[in-house]
Amino acid sequence: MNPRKPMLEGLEDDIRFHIESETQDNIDRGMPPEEARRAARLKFGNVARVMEETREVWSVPWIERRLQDVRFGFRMLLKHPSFAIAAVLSLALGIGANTAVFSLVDALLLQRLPVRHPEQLFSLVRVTPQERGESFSYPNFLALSQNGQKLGEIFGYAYRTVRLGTGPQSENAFAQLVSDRYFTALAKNAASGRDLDGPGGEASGADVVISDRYWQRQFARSPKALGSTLALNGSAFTIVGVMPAGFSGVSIDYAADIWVPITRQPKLDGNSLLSASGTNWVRVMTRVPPGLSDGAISAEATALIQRQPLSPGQKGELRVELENAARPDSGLRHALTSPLMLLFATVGLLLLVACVNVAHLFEARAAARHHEFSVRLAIGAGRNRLLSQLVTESLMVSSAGGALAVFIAWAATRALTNYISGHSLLAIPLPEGLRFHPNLHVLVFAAFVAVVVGVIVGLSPAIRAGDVDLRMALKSSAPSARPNPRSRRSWLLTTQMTVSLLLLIVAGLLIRSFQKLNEVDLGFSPSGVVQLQVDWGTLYTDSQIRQFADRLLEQFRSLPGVSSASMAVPGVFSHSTWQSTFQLQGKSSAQPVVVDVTAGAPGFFQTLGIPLLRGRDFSPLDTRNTERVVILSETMARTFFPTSDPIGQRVLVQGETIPAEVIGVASDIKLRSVLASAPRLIYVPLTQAKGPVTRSITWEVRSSSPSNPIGGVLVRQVHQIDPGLQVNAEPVVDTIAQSILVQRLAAWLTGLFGLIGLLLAAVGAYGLLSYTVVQRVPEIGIRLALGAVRREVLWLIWRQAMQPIAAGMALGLLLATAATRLLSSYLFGLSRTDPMTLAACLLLMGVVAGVACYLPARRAAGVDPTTALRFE
Amino acid sequence: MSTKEQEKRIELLQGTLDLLILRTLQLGPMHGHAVAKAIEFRSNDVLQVEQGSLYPALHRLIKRGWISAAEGISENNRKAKFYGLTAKGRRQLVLETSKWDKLAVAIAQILKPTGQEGQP
Repeated sequence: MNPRKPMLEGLEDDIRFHIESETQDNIDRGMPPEEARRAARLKFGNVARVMEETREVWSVPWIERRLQDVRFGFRMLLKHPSFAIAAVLSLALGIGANTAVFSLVDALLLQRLPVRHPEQLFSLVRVTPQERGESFSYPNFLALSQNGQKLGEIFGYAYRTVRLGTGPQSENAFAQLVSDRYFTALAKNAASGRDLDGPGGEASGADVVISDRYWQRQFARSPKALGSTLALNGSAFTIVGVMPAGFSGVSIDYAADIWVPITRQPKLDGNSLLSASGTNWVRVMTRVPPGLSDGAISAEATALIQRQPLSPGQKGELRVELENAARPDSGLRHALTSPLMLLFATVGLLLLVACVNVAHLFEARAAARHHEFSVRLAIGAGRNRLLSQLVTESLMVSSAGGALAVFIAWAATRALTNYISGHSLLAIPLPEGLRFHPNLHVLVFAAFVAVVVGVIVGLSPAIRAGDVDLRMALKSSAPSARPNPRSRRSWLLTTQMTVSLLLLIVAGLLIRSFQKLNEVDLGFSPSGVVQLQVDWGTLYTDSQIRQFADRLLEQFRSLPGVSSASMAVPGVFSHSTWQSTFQLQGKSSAQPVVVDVTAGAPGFFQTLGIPLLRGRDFSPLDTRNTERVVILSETMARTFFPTSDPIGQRVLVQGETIPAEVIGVASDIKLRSVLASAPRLIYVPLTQAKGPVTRSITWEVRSSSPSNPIGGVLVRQVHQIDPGLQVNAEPVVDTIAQSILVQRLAAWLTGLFGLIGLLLAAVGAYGLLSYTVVQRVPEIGIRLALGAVRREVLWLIWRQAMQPIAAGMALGLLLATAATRLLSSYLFGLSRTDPMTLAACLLLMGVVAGVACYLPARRAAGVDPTTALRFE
Repeated sequence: MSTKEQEKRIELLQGTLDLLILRTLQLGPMHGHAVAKAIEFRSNDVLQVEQGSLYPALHRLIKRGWISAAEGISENNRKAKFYGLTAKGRRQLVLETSKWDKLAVAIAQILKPTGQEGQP
């Protein structure tokens, strides 16, 4: 029990009794009652302070005082709600943007795999002088894996998108094909049922393990799931276990819902890769126990691989290296790390602008509360107490801002991810791991930023608030008694303008760059073209698909509104690449070079709008049995036939020994990326394509009205033949948009942050000038009374306000020319000192700041001189 | 307050107020005003207590368990809080008194010889 309450209960009565007794004594000594009371009070001292000090005896002093500060701070903030709201909102925006970006940084760069000792996990990487490969062939993996303990706990895996279930309820899901030891090495046992490791696991074949998420979604956590049958790409499997919640494999990009023995690969893909020694598709990881060095494992693995039958280029050259795999594997990490850092820097600047804004507000508040501070110091509050009071208040504001920030971050990232998913801007479903999770890291980050900001913002005016000349301050509240913070606050304004202009310039450059990216000549006209792909599953043979494909193409061509249609492998901006060798025939000196290949049906160039510069298109007469023909891209023609006419020349392509005749030259196109220059590309007839291209056929259909999407019609055409097929029809413009999603987001987000920064700076300028104007009312009154013209007063106030702003903008411009050096690699098609962009940013900033200053200046000019002078 | 009075009265050393309260309460429980009066009276008005400062001190002593407070009736028939020594307080008083004596002797010794040496 707290003894404090009863002890303090009678204190007031006690003191009253004391003073009354003293008064009585004084009266007894012959003083008149009035004087007796006064003398008694004088002798007793300050009642309030005595009560305060007595209470302090019983308090846990520190906490008690902080609570008092909080209560007082709360009252002060409530007294000026507009100040509190402005400060909290500024900080919430700044901290919120940082929290949102940090949650991505956390997910992508900081989070480690949710397994025991993730730092012991390593990926094996295949390194040759030419390339670095993350995958191995299955025979190579077996050679590594069967060597047992010398390589640690080694296991292999691969990702597949699979069709789960049958009929209309079926859905696409990510599957992980896993080898023996996958679960033991990751130290993840099934939460219920068993995993696939050990006897009866991998070998028995048709067993699968599902994720907790899928169990929840499909089986509502029913125990009946165990033992039930599940169709995967049309083959039956048995569920034997459920993984614990939160485990979704070793990748961020592909959160697995189902784990399948890797030996079942033929069942999922329809063709077996298990003995293909030339196809690298198995990723290999190992857990290195303490005591085993990764160098030794690397050497051992290299030796093992070198004992395998290898192609001549790899013999003696191929090495195996180990890469730490404590963090989940992610292709997005490579793509997103540097844009994310850029974004992080941007929101850092935004936070700085917000902080300066709040510092403004606190400075102004401190000045307005000057009298209060003086009184508190006069009645004996220590300077430290005053300091702690002010820091408490700023911490309250920043904490409220931080709490709101987490909500803003959540709402903003939700809106963003919905936008991305809703506009099919991402080729793969947005990884679950990249959605906003207010986990401990993120919350700690937000709290940390809030506290740091609170202390810094609160401390600076607080320190000066302690330097008060008591006599001057108490004598009057005239401006002369206040410290002159004007120069300091205009310095703050300069800083704010500098940073927000920098922010605006970064945003401006990225937006202009994105515009340029959209204006790039792709070499073909994507608008109005839909690309369609079919997932054939395992039920169709290649020759069936060929027949099906030709039939579909005929149907597409006869559709109303379709101006032309064709087929190709791969399609434009597809995620698969096909490369092959190209060699001039008859020249012994000519080395084979690797070039990009597209196999196209007749009409491909017309459908995509690729100008055919010379020669002819493929015709239906170019078949498997006729002479090999090839069409070169412009770059190819220029490179290999700089002086002669390429048409009619003979070249060796696709590794064949029979030469192909060059029949045409097509204009260069961007095949996979808007940013990269046009690749060296050759076209071969689809009928003459070598290799497993049939399943990858893409249909290109151009409809005459680009505004009317034809995708749905195309999908129905496919379903008329087989309603069970998975079809994906996508406008080519969308596919291209996906490829520049990162640039789009960078432009949009920095643009948004730039605008918020601009807004905050404008509010800062407006607030500061409004405050200054109130202070200068008497002076303005005198000027007006002495005959100054209102327009001159307006101009005077405005000009003085614009001085620090102009200085800030000049500084910002200077800083931007230096800082944007870091931005160069993000910019496409414009220099980092693009005059148009810089001018536009300066103009925007100048206009906004000008207006923000004009409003209070006009109010100043409207002052009534008589009122103003009476005020003084 | 006149300058003359200031010369006559001595402000209390930090912590000595506690000792004075304990010593005063040795006479028996009394209320706050009586404690103040007693201190002033017994020091022939030399020691000046800002009477208010008595209360934090009283509560400090209660918190340490050296004195206790109880409701009582004052000499002029009013309800008041009476403070009295506890057993622990009595022991403390003995301890503090001896400490104080030692301190007083020590300070006196330091001050005395200086005065004599200073004489020519």
